[in-house]
Amino acid sequence: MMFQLKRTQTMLKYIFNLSFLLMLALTSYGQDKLLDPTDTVKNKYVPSGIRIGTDVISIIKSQSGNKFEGWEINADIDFYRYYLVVDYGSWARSEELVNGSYQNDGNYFRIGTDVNFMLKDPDRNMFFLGFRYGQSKFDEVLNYTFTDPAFGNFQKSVTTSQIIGRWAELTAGLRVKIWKGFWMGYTARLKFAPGTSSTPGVIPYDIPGYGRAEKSTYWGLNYQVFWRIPFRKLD
Amino acid sequence: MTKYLLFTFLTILLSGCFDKGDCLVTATNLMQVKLLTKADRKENKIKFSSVTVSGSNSILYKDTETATLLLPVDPGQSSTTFTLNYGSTPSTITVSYSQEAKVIAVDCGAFTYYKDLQITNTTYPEGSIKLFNTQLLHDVSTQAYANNVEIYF
Repeated sequence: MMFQLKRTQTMLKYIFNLSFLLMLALTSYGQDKLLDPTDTVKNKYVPSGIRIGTDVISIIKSQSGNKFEGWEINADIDFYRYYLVVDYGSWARSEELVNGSYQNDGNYFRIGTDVNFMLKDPDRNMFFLGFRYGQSKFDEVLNYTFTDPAFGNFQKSVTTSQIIGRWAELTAGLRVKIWKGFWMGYTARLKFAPGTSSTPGVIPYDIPGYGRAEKSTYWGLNYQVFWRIPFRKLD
Repeated sequence: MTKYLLFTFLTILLSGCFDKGDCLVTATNLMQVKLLTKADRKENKIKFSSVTVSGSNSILYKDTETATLLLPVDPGQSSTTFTLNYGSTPSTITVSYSQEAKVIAVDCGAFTYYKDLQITNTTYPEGSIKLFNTQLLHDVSTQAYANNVEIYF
């Protein structure tokens, strides 16, 4: 009964999220027409520059303790109001459990698009909404002990290599031009629909780039600094 | 329009806040065996002199009358044999299973889950023993166990 309820709750959460995603896509399409009905600028979809940056939060988290070590590189390129976004990162987590220890180590990437809703801004400062597909490859090591009343004490060690993790994200955030090519901004992420490749003998705990594997939705936040390399002048 | 869009998006983001608690441990190595009457599948209490388990010196259900057995599978093996002593001849059930380790949370620890339960050998005649749930699970809120095996007398 409890397991059925849990499954139903997860399903409802997915349906809820996906319904709003669909609504979001439709309203974004409508906005496109409303905001820019008479645009006659030629070549507006030709990229004007590439922005390359990194996540400051990952660097601070790595320096402030011994539980997490990671970094992330972000890049985006504009096609008028649409941005192709690619992220690549490293993620290693080490946790002391009440009855053992857990470590993982891996890399991940995200690919997706952002839609800029501040198109009239002369510097192309951005408030954006977007979507990402994320994938990671990682190893896990789990050691734990337990006592069984009938069989005594046990010490178990499970190592799993080359696990593939996948998920999707809805994103929202800002990008602000600070000085010349220097930009800052943040990206809030609602990560959802996590999944992993088959892992006999162990259920993955933490997916690099995503977080706790058993959570059907997960929050993420990046505070990013960028340098923009222009290809051409903005229209 | 942008305001509505922002509101919609924030609603989606906030839906991520609704999540369950962390320490929900449903793992157990106890296999539930129900003893039922062959005729009408009703609870059938049997007086056991003892129940023994391979790999363990423990003696379970000594001089106990019960209609439900909770039998521990061996965490160190992939199969366990139970010997049920009642009446004149002992009866045996051998089950095989696979194990899966899972970290519930840092504060709860890691646990072993048992699944793919199969009856590989038994002295009970065909039709008088049946496998139901192939996972060993324990509902902590109701203290109920998954119904794994039924034996009909």
